[in-house]
Amino acid sequence: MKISWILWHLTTSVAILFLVGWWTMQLGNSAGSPYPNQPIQVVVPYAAGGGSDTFVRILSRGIVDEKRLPVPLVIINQDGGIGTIGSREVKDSDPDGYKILCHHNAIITAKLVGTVDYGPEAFEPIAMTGEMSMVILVRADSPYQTVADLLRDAKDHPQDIRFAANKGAPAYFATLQLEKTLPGAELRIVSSGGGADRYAKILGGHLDAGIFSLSEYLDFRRGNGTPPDQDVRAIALLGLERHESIPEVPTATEMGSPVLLSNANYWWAPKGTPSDVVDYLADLLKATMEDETVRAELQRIRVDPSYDRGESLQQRVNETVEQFESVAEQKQASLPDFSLYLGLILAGLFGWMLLESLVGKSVAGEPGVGKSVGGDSVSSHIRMMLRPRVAIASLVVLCGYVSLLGLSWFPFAPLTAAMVVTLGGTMMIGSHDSRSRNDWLVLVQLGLLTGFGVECVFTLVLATPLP
Amino acid sequence: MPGFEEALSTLASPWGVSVVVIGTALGIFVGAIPGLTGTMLIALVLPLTYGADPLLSMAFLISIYVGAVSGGMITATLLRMPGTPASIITTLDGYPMARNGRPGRALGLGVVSSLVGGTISWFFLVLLTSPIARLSSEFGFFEYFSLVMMALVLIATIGGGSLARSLFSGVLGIFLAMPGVNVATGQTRLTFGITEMNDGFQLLPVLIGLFAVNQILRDIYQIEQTDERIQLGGESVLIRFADVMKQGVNLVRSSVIGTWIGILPGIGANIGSVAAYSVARSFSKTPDQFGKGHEEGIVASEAANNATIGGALIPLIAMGLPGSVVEAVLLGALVIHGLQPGPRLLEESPAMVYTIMGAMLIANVVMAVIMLGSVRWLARVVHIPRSFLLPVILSFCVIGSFALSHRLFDVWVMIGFAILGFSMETVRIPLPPFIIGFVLGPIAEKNLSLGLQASGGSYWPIVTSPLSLLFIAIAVVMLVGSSLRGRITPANGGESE
Repeated sequence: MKISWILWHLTTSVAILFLVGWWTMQLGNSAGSPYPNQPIQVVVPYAAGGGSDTFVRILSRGIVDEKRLPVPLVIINQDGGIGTIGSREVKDSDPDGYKILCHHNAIITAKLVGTVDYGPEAFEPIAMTGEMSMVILVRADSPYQTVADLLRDAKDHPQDIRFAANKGAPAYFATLQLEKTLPGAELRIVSSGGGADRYAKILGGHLDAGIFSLSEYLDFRRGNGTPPDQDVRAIALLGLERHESIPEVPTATEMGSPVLLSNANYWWAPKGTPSDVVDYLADLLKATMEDETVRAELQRIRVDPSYDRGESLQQRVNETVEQFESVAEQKQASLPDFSLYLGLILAGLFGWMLLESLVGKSVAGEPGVGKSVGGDSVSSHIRMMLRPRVAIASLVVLCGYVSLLGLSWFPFAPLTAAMVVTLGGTMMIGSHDSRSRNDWLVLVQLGLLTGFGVECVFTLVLATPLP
Repeated sequence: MPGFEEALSTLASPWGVSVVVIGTALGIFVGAIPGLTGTMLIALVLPLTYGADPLLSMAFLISIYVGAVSGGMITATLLRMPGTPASIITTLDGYPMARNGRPGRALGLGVVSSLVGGTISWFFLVLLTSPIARLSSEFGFFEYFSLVMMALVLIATIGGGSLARSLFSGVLGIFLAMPGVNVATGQTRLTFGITEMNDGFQLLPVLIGLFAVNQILRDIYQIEQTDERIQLGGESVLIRFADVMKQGVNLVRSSVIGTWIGILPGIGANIGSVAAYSVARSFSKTPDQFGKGHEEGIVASEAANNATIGGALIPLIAMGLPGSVVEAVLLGALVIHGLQPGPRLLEESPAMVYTIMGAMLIANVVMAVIMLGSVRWLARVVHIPRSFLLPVILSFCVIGSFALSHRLFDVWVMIGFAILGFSMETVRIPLPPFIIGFVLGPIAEKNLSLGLQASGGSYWPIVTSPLSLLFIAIAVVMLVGSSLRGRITPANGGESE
């Protein structure tokens, strides 16, 4: 017993010394040298593993491998709300160039749709790096040979062709534009999720046509002897010129429907970022995009290595905004308001439940408080001591801890250590039995290990910043 | 078979073996800690595999996945804190059984069931991958809708006790999943103008809050009671062959259900175990024993949640269709390593496909060996005083909620749902239906909305499509069956005690 305690104290002390030492050294690093002197965070407003994420990671590898940046580059995935969670985070951050965003055209459409009240004007554009062409796909046995066929049919039978384009996304605006090129043509636009999803729906005949990225098309296309009802075919490319990988596919412009859509990756800094910082980052991205390895990688995921910055970039963004705004009048979706119905059902069920417990109480006796799903059969023979005060105090400690993290007055590691000690202490005092001084020591050790250990693992191994 | 030898030599190499063993062990460890989930670990580890060999990286990620789904049962059984969402249902019978003095047997049963479930689903993975690729395009929006409705009916059957309370819990789950961007219209709703709400409440912080943090609060609230917890007796964790045979039907049935649920996109391991549990109860000779430490309950839950892995990998490999966050990250891993997921993966990178399949099988066996070997040691966790254990777990919950999308908002969501879960349990509203509603509601709504868009507003395809009609019919039968059964045997919940 004695020996195991000595061992415990020895190992924890060494570990704590090491962790705190590492932590203080790392603190000293961020002295006031010229930009950049601390890690630069790139916010990707989509999940890890998605198209945007893969793109940014290829560039980030090009930057890190060639040591183009004296500080670490940290990629943060903030998925959700069609990219608005991540874009809001960067918009509201300090304009010091340490938190930037990589986001495509959806930053423009999010404002037009009303998801958020800001668009590209709330940011400083840094650069455009790489874009991907978009195509219109049909099932291989579809009667439509060209986009003109599709539109003619859409005019003859308005609202009959089921066309996949996610509402509010850039593809949706391009579809509205497409309809406009032949007055009277009306497509039945269906939001239909990710590429693989849409592909399955088109193969199964649940949708008639849809907009896909070139890379999705090249992945999904089977060719060579596949029965035509199990394959897809591109009928138009939404670009200025034909693409080298699919030279046989005409552009929509050639067919008389001048609609352009590409998925370009833009880099944004918060409004007010100094122009020398923006230039620094634009130079960095330019050098990276010219790297041979990076180009080969981009070729592999079928991103064309285009690059744009400064005036011409601003003009490009403005043109895209105008393009989307020209068709922005939204056709209101005529779907039933499910949330309203559900709210009514919920209220009804609440009434039923209330009634039942009122009636039930008079029949059966009062059931034990805090009876839980799993513990029914056993909790009865154990004397239960309830401590609402300790529970509430703990909850307050937790909320205080999270609020302090949000204010970022204190660094993460010591704050977490303090939380563990305070919470554990609250519980120890609350449970009446006298605790020895040793217990407090162990608690402090645990707190320090948790706080500094977690920060060490996340920063060193997982390269993810904590609050 | 092209690629088979390459896959075999990768997995059999010293590197391959150590990668699988380390991955599985890491997965079990993280899976067992409430608050930290396999999803989070895989998402965070993905960038680290960037420069490594693609086959080894994938084997590593798959092993973490298998380990994490299994590891959750340890804390679920011993502390009533499901380490991962997949083991929520294991708490229902695992914890009472452990409290009744048989924690070793509960864990042993869980491990063996996980092994069997994983292995059965592995056979489906190998056999079904290419046929499924063809079948999946048969499913349109309405077919998916009906299928999900069939699963939603489980709300009425799980949780026992009052039907009104179960339904209320389920509908509340659906309702709270509604804020955020409505995929069908691209518009936001119920966000009250707060951008943070544009994505609604994330599944992970909701689950951590409802189950882990809620239980921590409850443990603090009932501090005296919790100090005298489970004693791990001298009983062996090894399960005799006869026991496995006795549960044979249940094992196979739960594994098939788990695999099937795993195949369906977006549904995942937590629902797989709920479905298997609920079916096991309705087929059981002793349905009133469920929720009180019944072996059948543990077997059903653990076999099914591991079986969902094999199921979920089927559409991932066959179609490039991710079923859940974990699969989406795995899909990204394929792309990062230069492979094109999608229907052609099988033809173009057979070595990768065989490596994924092989790693899943090996990780399953490694998981069982590690778990059975370390259960006695792991179980000592219950002897650590609460005042040491709970604060540390709580800080993991905070980090786990934060780390997936780097938002403190998610941490507040976690705290909010912890309070909600605590209040609901206090007034005896069961939590499992809430989770079913929260996960399935949005999928049902999305498919119904898109189906209506595609059909021009007509509801008829729900009954005119044969597949859809079939699912609706099954749902009605299940609903009627369970309510009749409920009347015949009123003792299927805690209410009657």
